[in-house]
Amino acid sequence: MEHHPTFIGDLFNQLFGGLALALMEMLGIHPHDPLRPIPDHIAIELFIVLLAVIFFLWFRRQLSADNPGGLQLCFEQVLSNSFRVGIYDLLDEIVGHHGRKHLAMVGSVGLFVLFCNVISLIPGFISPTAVHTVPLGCALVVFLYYNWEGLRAHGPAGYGKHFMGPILPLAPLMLPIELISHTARLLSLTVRLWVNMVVSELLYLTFLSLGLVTFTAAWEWNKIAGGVLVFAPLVFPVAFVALHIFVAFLQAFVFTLLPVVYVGGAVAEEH
Amino acid sequence: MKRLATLAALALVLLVFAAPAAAQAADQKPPDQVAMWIVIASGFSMAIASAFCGLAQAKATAAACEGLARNPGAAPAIRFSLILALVLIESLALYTFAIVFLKVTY
Repeated sequence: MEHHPTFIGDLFNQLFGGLALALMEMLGIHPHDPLRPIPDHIAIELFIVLLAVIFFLWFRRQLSADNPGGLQLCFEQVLSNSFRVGIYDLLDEIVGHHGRKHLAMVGSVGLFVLFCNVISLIPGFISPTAVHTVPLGCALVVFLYYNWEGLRAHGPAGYGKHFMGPILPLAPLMLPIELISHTARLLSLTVRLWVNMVVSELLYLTFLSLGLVTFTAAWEWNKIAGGVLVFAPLVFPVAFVALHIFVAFLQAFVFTLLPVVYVGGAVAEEH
Repeated sequence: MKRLATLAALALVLLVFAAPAAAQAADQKPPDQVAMWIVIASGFSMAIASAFCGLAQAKATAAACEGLARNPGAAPAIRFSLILALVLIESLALYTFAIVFLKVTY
């Protein structure tokens, strides 16, 4: 989708534009616009990473077991809560034994996706996850991670058996199916997040323009009807901002849940 | 450590080759007659996809609610499978939308 240039994008291009251009020339990639070699979504993504690292480094020093602050209680709910949907709950329930060691990977991907999703609520920012390369990057990281964990848990031969199906005579049938379904996970993770973010932006735009069209048509026909309908372009889109917040949290949760399921499947003893 | 380095190199190669491949598809425009049918087919395909995904999600939710009413103790397990199933069903409609989105905007 086309966007106006953002402030963060301008800033990053001024600071690191030359460096990025040199790096891209070295790899043989030619950017569309040599004056702005860093696209906005990459700049905002880097900004989120920077902000998250600084925030969590500061936050780590505030943690205390005796006197937990409000923020600490909030983040403890992210880890474990009474609905059993925290990250520790997911890992305990699905991966089981030794599941909690995957927290670093799964949690950072989940929080990164969450921050990327909700940052478009701040005016002047766009969601990096509404551009297909960003979810693809997250999905690639998850894909490499769970295969690596599977290899580490079972060894190459043991992990290869996961793809062979339950009994050996079925292996020629099961192998292609399993390989396709594993690579399709990459596709489904990417497309789900990307399309959900694009759709919630499109819905907002569509209902804003519908409201505006209704209002202007009514205003030209009759000033009183127009006066009544002046609320249409103001109120309807706000509902879709609320929907965007809900979808942002839900998709971040899904992007945490599915890696946990994949890791659980890769390190499972027998299935 | 060596395997990690191999994986990292593989990922780098994938990323480098992915960008030019994605950039090539953008500048082809279908003729007007074809573009009209693309729009019509897109509308119908989205309607069919949403209709059947709606049916499937309703069936999954109904079964989960029934299970919850019978056995509230199994709530966490049922909730996991429900969310997982809903997400997987929903992604089928989203695939359709992704195709519609790519075909209509280009």
